[in-house]
Amino acid sequence: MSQMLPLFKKELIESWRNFKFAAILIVFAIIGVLSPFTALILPDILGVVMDDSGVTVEIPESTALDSYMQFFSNMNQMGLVIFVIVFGSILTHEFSRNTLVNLVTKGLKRTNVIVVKALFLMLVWTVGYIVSALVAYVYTIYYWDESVNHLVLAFAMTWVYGLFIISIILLASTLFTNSFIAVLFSVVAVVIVMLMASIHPDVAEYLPQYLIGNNVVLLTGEIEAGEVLWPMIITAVLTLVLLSLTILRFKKVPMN
Amino acid sequence: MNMDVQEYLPFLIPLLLLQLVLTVTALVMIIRQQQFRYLNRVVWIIIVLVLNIIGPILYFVLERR
Repeated sequence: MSQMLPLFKKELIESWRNFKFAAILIVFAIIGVLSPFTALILPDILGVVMDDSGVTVEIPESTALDSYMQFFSNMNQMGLVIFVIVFGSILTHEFSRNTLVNLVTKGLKRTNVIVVKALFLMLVWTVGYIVSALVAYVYTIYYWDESVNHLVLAFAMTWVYGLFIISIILLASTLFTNSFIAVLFSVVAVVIVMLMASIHPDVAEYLPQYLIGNNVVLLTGEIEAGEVLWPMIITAVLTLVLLSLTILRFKKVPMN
Repeated sequence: MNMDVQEYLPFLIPLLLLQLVLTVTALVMIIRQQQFRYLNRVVWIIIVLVLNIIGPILYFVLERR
């Protein structure tokens, strides 16, 4: 604990100096504002386009569901990608600048390094995500005032998936040490493998990928809350397993 | 259409403010920075001004490690 607090402070100060933490908060807040906005103006835009082309079709008014749909599609694609790009180098840049060597040789436990990095990434992700989700939620209840099913659970699905992505970032960082590009590629590779595996319907229901593909379906009530329980548990367990593997691997990484 | 803009202000004002904070911070950092890993000061300023959101993010990721 006495080693972890200063390390955590170091991460906070570093992310403040290079403005990455604040940048993520701002981008996530933008996603939170943009999603209900897109849902609101989409019917108007479609209407203008339809009028210009002379087609008259009744365009249904947007609903709270459209707003959440926009939020989840923005968050699951843009939000996660930006998060990985901004924070994917959190461990690799320590390797490439050799900044950990002194600390580790002076008695810093290697386990603590990974635990602190993981906790810090989870803090950034959680705070950013809560800000984004709250902004989107407040706009949505203000403009539509409709209730949807299991909203908190739907928000939690993407959050848990984000934690899973964090564990992949850290494991890939310890495997490829100083190559940030390799870390990016391994995250992409894991997602592609999961997408390919989810072609099989039986497997799809248990993959982490299920979590970010079914937020809206849960909101409409097409699936029950119980159906996302298994992918949630599996993703959480996988996250812990990957983090343990990261610690084991990091203990063996040569540093000099 | 003018009516619409009024209606959308609750969205547009926060969006513009957030983007402004991101862009201005990036610009201040670029002006203060002496040595650049990639490109140079003028090119970074153009990138940050032209590509909103993506530009500042690129700068923070590539130059501020």
